[in-house]
Amino acid sequence: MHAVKLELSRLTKKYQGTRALDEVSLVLEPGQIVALIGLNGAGKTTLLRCLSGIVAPTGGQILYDGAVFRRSRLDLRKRLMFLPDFPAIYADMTPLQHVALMARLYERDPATLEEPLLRVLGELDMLPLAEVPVARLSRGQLYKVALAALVVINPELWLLDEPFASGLDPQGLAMIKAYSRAAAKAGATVIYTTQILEIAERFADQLCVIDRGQFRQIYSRADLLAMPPEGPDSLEARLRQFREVASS
Amino acid sequence: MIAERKVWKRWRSAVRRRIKTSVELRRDYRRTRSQRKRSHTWGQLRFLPPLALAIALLSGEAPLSGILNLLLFWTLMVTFLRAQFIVSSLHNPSLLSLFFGWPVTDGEVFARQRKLILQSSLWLGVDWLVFGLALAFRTGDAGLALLAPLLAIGQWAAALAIALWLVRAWPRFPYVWLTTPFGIVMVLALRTHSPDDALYPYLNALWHGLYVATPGGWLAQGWLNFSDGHPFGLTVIFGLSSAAVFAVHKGAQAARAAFNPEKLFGYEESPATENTPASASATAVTSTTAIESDSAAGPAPESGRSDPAETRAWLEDARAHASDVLPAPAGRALSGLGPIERAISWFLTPRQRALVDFMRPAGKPWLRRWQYAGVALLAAFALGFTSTPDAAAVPALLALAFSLPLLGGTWVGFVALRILQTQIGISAYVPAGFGEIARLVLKINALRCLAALPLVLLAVHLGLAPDIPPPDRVLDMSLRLLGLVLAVQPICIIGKFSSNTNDSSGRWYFMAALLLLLVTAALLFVMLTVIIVMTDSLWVAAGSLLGLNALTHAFLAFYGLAWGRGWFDLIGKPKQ
Repeated sequence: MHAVKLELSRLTKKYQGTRALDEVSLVLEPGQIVALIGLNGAGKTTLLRCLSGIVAPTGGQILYDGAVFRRSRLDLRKRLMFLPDFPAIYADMTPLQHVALMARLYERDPATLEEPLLRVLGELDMLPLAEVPVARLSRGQLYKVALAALVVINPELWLLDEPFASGLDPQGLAMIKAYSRAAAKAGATVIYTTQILEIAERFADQLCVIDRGQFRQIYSRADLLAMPPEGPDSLEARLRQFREVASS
Repeated sequence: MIAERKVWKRWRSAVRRRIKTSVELRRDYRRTRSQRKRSHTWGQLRFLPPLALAIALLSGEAPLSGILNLLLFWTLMVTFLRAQFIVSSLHNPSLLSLFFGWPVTDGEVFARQRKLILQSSLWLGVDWLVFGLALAFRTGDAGLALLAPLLAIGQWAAALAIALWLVRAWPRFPYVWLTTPFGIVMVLALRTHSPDDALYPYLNALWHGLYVATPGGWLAQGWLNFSDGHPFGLTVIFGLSSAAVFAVHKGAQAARAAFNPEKLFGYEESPATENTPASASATAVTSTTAIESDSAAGPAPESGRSDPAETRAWLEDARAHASDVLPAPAGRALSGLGPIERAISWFLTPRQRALVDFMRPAGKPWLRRWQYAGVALLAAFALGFTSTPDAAAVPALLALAFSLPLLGGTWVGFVALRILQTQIGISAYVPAGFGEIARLVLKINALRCLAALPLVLLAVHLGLAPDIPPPDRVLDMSLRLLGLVLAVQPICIIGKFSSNTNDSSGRWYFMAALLLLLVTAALLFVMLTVIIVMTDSLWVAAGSLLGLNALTHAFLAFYGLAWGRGWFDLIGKPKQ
């Protein structure tokens, strides 16, 4: 896998006067799992949407391997996949058909995908449902279908919006961590948003605290490991202090 | 029960007081100012009609009969608008679904909707109150001033009663469609002053009809009668107003009896549906929609691991299916529709075949549409032998509509996923470019137009009965028509993309450029279309067609450039 180096340079996004992202800068080396944590409306989803091209930055730049990212850069867009918390999947398609469609759009060779697909569907307990129209699946199962497509296509940049609040069962939650770790180990960058502190604390190489469109704090894996689970130096206490400072 | 105005106003004051106590909160409050702004609606201009009415009456220049005619017509239009509002309030499943998760009874929901309906129709009473008071002031008649509130109540109640009973009889009728012809008549009426005008007798007949056939007209006649000094008018107004109020009461009772949200949602179906998964019957997810945020919920077929033998069987089964599905040739979404689509799919590149599976052309298969066109052409042919051969133009036009992609065709890939107050086109989530999608749609539609050429020739030939031109002229006209249809395609594609973006509310420079280009292009479009239709010169027509197609394709290219450069977001406001 060709890994992608991601660089945000003074990235700004305004919605009718409101700064959803305010001059955000960050450099991410390949092979990392990055957690974005923040209050509701802090700008997490907007950042992911900017990274995927759905919304366009009002200012600043996104660079993939030094190349400026624009919506028209299909070559760059084929190197990433954005998984929203409610994925868009045609209702009358089966999981197999959906993965096949995604594989074609990402120009992957279908012949090489059969074994990985069967493995992933088995691990996600989706084999019995592989031929069931998506309209008949529950929310968690729907997410598993989209996740299966992501894992099988295996792009270099994974953008996951609230994957741990997407209705997945414990097996699905365990697998999403396993797949992300495997992808990061192979050189992919995984960026996900979450509101769950315990997950962000244990499942990230970098934890970015985002608030009012800005990165307030970035913790490395070493920082996180050095933090005690409880007490004034714990991550929870730090975030609480940070929030109290912001609202005082 | 719902939206207790006093309560939330008190809370709003409390919130504002609390915000004032903190610098940070004040800063954040200012920061979110734009989010608090309410979107403007035409309804906020509702004070204008009574204002215009008062000015017209008090200036003393406008003739009373003219004003009264327009006011009666306005009342009829508002009656239909109220009918639409009642339909939306009491028969709209997506609106009523909001209440399903709340601990409220159907009766409480109905009471809330009834209150909204009553409140929103009060403005019509204000119009008539202003009319009555202004006229009393103009004539100096205190009796008329005292009677004005009764007239206002009578007109309001009569309009509301008619609206209620209309909806009871035809709950699915699109009443809002009537506003366009009403608006046109209103404009024409305002421009027609002299009896010499060609429209004058028609408008006169219309006004006469209003006085004869509508309760509002009867009330107005009573009013005029009373203002002339006849006490009988008072009896008419009093009697009709009482009857109207009673009719509103009975109409509301009937509406309450018919108000059954469960039936609206199809939950009162036969017991056989109990065995099907709820998501299949209740979420209304169709083959032409993407899964929406909350629509996929519900019980699902059982999953989970059971005994190893069963797992092995599933695995074998899935392997067999995967072997079929994964390497299956792309483009089935088009080629699987029918023989014409299959023939057209031969011209697509491998990437376009993958894209067409995502974009998914929808609607009736083209062969079926051609069959409909054939039936219409037969009708046109038959009409050519009747005493009214001109009527053949109607089925001929229908045949054209069936055989050509007049509005760009139907493509499921342009649908949007609604997420709270936004909607995002599903194509935004996949690596599919504006240019390649546009090229695909243009190519398929162009091939479809070419394939339909024989039908177009026949439609033009038969539609021009009884003065059927020679074959070369028919060919000329058909080609011009096809050229026009092709020229419209880029605009249709822009419209389909545009519906899921914020291109009209994003960056000001793009909006300004778009507006300027749109106006220029529209003027050029009309000019060139007129030339293409009117000119006898083949060369001029061909040149104009080329110019027109170049114009619309350039517009498409400009929009594509803006799309690719990110001059707007792929997030739009939901339709409803």
